[in-house]
Amino acid sequence: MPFDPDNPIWTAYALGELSDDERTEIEQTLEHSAEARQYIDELRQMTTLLSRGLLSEPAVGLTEIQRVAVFAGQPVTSAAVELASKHESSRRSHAHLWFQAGAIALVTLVAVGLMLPEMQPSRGSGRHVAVLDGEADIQSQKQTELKSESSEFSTKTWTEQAPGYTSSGPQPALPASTEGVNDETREKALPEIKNPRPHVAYTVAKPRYSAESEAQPQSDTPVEPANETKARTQSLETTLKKLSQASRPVPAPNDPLGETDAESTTRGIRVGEPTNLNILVDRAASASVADSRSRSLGTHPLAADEAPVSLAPLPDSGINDRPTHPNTEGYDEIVDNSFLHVTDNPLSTFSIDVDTASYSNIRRFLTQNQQLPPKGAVRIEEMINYFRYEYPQPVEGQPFSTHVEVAGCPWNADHRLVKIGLKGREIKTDQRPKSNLVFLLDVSGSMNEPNKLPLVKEAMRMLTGQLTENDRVAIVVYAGGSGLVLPSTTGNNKETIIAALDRLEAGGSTNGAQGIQLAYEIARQNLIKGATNRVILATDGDFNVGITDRTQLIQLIQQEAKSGVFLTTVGFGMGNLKDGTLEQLADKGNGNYAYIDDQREARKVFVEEMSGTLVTIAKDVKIQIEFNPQQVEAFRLIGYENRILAHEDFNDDKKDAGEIGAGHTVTALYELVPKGKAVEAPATDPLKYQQKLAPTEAAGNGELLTLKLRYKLPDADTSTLMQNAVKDAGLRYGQASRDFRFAAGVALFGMLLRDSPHKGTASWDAAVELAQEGVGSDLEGYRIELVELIRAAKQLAQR
Amino acid sequence: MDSTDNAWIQKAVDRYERPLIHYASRLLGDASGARDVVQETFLRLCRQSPADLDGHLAQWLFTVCRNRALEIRRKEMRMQVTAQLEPASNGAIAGRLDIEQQETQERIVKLLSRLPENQQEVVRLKFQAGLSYREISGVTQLSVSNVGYLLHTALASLRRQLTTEGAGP
Repeated sequence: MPFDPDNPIWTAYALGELSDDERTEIEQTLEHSAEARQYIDELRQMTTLLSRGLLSEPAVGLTEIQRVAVFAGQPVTSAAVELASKHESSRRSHAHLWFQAGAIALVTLVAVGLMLPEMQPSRGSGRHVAVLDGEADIQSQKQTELKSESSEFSTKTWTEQAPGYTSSGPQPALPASTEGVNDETREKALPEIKNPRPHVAYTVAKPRYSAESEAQPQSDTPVEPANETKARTQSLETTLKKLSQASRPVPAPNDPLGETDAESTTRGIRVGEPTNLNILVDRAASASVADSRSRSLGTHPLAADEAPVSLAPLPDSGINDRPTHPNTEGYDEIVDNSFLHVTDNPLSTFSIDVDTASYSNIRRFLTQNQQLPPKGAVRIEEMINYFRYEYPQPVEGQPFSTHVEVAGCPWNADHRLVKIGLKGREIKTDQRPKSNLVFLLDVSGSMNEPNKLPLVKEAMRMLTGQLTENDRVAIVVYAGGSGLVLPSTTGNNKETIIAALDRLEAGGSTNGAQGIQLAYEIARQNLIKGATNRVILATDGDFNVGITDRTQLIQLIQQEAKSGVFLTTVGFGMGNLKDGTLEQLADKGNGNYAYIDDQREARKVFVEEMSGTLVTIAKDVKIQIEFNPQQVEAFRLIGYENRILAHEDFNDDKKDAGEIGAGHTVTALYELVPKGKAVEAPATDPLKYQQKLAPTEAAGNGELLTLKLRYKLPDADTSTLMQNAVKDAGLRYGQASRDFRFAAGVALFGMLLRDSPHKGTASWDAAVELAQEGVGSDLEGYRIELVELIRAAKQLAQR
Repeated sequence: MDSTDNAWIQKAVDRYERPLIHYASRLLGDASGARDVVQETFLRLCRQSPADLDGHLAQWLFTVCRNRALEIRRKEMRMQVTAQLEPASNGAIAGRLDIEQQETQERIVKLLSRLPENQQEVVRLKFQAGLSYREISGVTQLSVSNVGYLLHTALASLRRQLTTEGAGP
């Protein structure tokens, strides 16, 4: 089709509105016509600006009365509201009200005034103030909108507008500036709540976030309305207090907030340890206040919704499932590995996993969302592997070293804990092999949030900063269409690459064309034998990358991995994250999966651990352990639930497994029940036709287990076997290495978050203690952050 | 309404409240009137069965909203777009853009307001409400190709004016 700017089909193409056939035809023309490409580019640039302009137009929301009325099924007109707004719009109200129409009961009053900047001496926390001040990011804009919106209701005007309201309630007595008054007592004083919709106004503007949390409480509404209201009020309140405390550690003597502050010290996030609180607050501040109210108190945020939980990966799930659906974070269910009797199951076989996404995602839940993560989001192996452990460098010629440690199990005195560690050979930056990278970036409209596209760009800029003339980078985007934004360019042309990144704008629906095929095609065109050839996919979860069927997508990725192009997936943002899909894609694509919640994490993945992220040292790394029945009664692999392999696959080189990158450490923990101790797992009946396995002579040698590893070098097709026998030296827990104790703490933290049946009587405090003992020098501060996260989780769990 | 209804209604409100109010405000030129229309739209939604609307919820909402707004407009013979909403002030999105882009963005929106009403409407449904051609076709009763043509024309003239107008009005 010849290019004709007057033909509407070109506009339709730019907006992603064409069928596959039409699109293919257009794309053929695009390849040959620079004029057409320029036309499409310019059109997209303009429509991005247009949609941004339109989206930033001020819009009122429904009033709270109206919104509640929708749920009560009764209309409330704006007339009364407008009147109130005329009276009060110039004033900044410090409160907003939640109503229940019908009974028109005043449900509660939240002290938004806490957040108002003029109330906060800006001591030492300019950033928080800036965020709250509505200058720093999108969320704060919503907040600003909230302020103006809520200003339509002051306590005063409400009493005018609602003559039926009697003065027996506490509200009319409150002046407009009621910051810090304890809302709980007020709620308790209002027993007539029938259908509370404690709808915090700021969420109106954020359908994704709000839907994420709305789903669950909805179903609870009729059951325990008062509790729900209370819990959510509390959550907001605590967040506000936390933020206000950060900037105002010492309440002034005459500060009306002094009392409430003291109270929240016991209930909210601790203020006692400022160093680490800063981490938490920084993260919380970088998220929106709006997110904080999405906490659902430990229940699965999707529970009441379609719950995209699947025991086995289902085709389609997670990909392209109703792109407009606002509540679409997806997690696959995980069932904890149980204890297995060694007499029945002498072997344990699994694939290594170097992903770290689960940990940073959990961190996002705990700090930004102020809620416990859904259990499906907690993959203990990824939590453990987020941290570096001091394993010895491999000997010359080996891709990685192995390291096994056995000591007492801290959460069960009768049990033993085995830590298996692998360390990939480190590669100095100047010895890093050449690389051929294609960034495949999601620039759909949903990425237009500060923690999404801007963070993606920042992360890619960081990575670009590390590249040299030995590296090549291309950028492919997908959204309203897919396109090559930057043809493969050598890494020394940093300005060109960064300029291309800077030009990226989020806009349009995720209705992408052949994004992923294009990315692979570019990668293949620039393939460097024996080097790093990798597509790096960055997305918030909208997976319409051209192939919409998960099975097909996986096939494509597997096929490309065989041809030498590996895939790394990087998750950003929230509300839409397809955690399971991203993990699976990276797994099948011989790559890793990281989740980036902030700049610091971006730096960790793309700068500090860049070699590990990019350079694969060994692929299809499988671990098989044979336990000695004379030493071990039963065992349990902690984590790795979705990495378990069939025993016969260990020796089958056609079976895919995990990769290990340069400098990566991989750690796995087993909990063992020593011979003769009681096992909490059901035993099978004795066999009728054959005898159980009988111990061999070697079983008497006192060995605990034999560790076998298989791996392939990155471009090899056949695997190499490594074997090690391990004896238990009988170390007590207290004699174990620092890394051992730290890893045990992480594992216990994960078990608690997952409410694992194996956690026994272990408490959050025990996890804190274990982790703390293992902190060590912790130069980067990652380990101490874990301790803080456990404490934060404890607080959240106790609510 | 029983509680199971609540969840999907709530999601619909969360997702479409603002786009609908934007849309209705333009049709009516009046924010509070728009609120009433949108509220009514949601109230009607409460009487629907979610299964009936599966897959075309957006289209249904915008259609109901549009019909109701046009009905009011006919009745009250309001002039459209009389009340100019205040421009976004210290918008945070704005703060992140460089000034030049910010200016262009504002100019595009301003130029948009000079286009014929039917063009403005499809542009807003596309870029503000995020509807597809087909959904817009369902809402406006125009054919899909007509929607495509209107959008194309609108974008082409925006583009022309942007380039010829130079530094802006």
